[in-house]
Amino acid sequence: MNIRLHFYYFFTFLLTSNYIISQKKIDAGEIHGDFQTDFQTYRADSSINATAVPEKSGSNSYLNLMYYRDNITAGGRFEGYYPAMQGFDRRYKGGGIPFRFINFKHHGLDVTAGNFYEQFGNGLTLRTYWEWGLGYDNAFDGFRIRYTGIKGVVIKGLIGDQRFYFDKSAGKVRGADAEIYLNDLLPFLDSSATRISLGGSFVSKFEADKNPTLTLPENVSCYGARFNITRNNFNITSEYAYKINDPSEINGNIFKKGDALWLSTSYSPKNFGIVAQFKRLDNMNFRSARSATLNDLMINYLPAGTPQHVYRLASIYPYATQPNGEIGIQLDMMYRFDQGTLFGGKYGTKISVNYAMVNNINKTPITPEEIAKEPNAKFLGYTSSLADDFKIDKNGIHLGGHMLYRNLSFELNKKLTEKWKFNTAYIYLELDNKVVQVSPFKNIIRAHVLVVDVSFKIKPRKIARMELQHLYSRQDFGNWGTFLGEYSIGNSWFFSVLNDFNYGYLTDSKPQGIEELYKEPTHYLSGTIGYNKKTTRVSLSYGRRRAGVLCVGGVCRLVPATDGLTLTVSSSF
Amino acid sequence: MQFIKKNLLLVFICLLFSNILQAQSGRKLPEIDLKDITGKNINSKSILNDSGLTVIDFWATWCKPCIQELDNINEVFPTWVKETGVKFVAISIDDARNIAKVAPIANSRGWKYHILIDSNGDFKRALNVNNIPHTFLLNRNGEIIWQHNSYNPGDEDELFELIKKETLKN
Repeated sequence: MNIRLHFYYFFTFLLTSNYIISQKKIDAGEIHGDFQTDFQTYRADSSINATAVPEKSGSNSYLNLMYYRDNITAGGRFEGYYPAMQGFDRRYKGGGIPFRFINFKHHGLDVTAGNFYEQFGNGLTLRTYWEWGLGYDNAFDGFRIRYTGIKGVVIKGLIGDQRFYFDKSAGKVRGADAEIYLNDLLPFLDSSATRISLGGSFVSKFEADKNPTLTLPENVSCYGARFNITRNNFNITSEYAYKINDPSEINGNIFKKGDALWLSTSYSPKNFGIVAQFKRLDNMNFRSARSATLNDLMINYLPAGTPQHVYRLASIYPYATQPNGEIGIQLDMMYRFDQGTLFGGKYGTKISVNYAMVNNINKTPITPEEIAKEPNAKFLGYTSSLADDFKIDKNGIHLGGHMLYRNLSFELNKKLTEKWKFNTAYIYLELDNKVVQVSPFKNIIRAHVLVVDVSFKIKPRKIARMELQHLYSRQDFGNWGTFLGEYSIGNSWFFSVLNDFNYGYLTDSKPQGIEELYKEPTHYLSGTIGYNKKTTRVSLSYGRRRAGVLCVGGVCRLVPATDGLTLTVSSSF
Repeated sequence: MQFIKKNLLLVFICLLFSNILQAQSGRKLPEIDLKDITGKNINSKSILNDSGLTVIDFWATWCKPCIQELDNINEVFPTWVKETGVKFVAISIDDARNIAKVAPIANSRGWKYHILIDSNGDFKRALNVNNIPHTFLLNRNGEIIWQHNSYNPGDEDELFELIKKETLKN
């Protein structure tokens, strides 16, 4: 309560000082910020398993406020949960200022005290970021220095605790990173068409050992090395990270070392693009508390290496990175048929294809002989290697063990006339839900999704759009049909109607213990009105929403089914 | 009821506040390190147009309206450049998962923009961008004179009118 009161005083002060400053016309800096508030009401609705909430509503809000003057920036974020909306962790409770910082820059030196976000390389060793829609924030609270005073070199060092809801981690994190852009550093490479950058990072976390029986490593270090080479339209980049033994809740308290390899290459001359990626993760869960689970206290970021689908039904079964072990590849191809060609027609045609696969890695159990030789070997859990996961025989190349995820998708994008635009997509998905766990059905899910997306320009600035989607599956909750109709007037008003229709699951495949989740064929109908002006956006929705997983960048959150009203207001200034 | 009141109060204060602050003109770009598609560090100060206006547009490979906006502007972009000399900087907020797709998407679609990457959202946060696409127009002095959130087809005509008007002003 006290904090909130202070916050209002702070506002009043800023407001008044702003008036005074504008009168005197002195350079007193600038104030900027942004905010969003989401408010949702809940009503019990047994036909979709929406439960009642005692408060009957939930609301999440934040306001960022930043002050800029010359080379100094200071700011903070107020967050309030009254109470947290359904699907968000209940440890987000009440209001507070979990993020505040001061930063100054001077001759290539950049110093931050307080809270900050940072990423080393691809994030395999360290990445903190904020994703409001997921309730994800693993910001550091501490001290960071970056130095860019030498041309072609970036050096960073940091130390701090991590954010844990309205609290902090018990563990401390320390890290350093250096990146060299060779073409800037070495004069003879200055004009070379080949651009090369190299980087290395070191991260260490400390957490006291309070275990009465085992001797746990109190300091766990993680190293990373990376490169990026670009020549004209060709690029290749890779990062390898290695972590010493780090027993934790997630890995089953084993003492094995961990590593991660990420390799990505692309080629894209005019009208064409191809991307190929490979990754392998082995025991790479890295958090500032051994007991942390879910999305809590992650120090590193392990990219999913699978496509990020935008259509509703294609994103029902998203893949989430398995830090304990996975191996996979992804291929993307895109092509644009020019205007005036056979396939291009009058306005051109765009097509794209994606194939992604992820398997688990082969883990060899520790044998009794090994334990007889070295008693401590029993704590290692298993042994594994890249070589074990890469086999070639007469049937082809085999990566890792059993299937975790498959995706094969095609998309075609075409402007038919000045007024009509057409988009269609087919997506095939396969997911091992015992491991990935995106719904209560604990088995392999296979789904075919077809999308047709048409937009029509009624008059300039008046656009109608319609999406028809269908998902066919013999597993989980069966089939889904989606209708989405949108109408927008210029960039200000926006109206939409959405219906997700769930039907046709196989009654005999109802998994035991969760039969009550299976209902009669159900419509999830909702409507939205939105208004936009400059940077302010207001939207109001009413209706049912299906339960599901919301994912951003490979990090996911489960959202229960709800029925009610949702209001969102956001703005920046 | 009390928490609804509190929330409404907060929203009200924010709106009031943002109105007052929107009146303060000429925000300068914050100094943040970005990357180009070769992995080179680029300071946000150096992305400005030396001789005219600059458009900064935040997008991502997974954002459909963003790609639609960039495709649509790309069709008329040669005219924009010819008539006003405007510079267009498209800043991707993709993280490691999709960064490798940024250049192939831009090249395969024939985009003629300067493509930069803000992979951990530092620039996005510094400019208080909460949703994408988010478009900024900067004048010759590097001050933000207009910004807009979201995209609907046809919005680019409004932006071009503004660019023409501002170019004549200078």
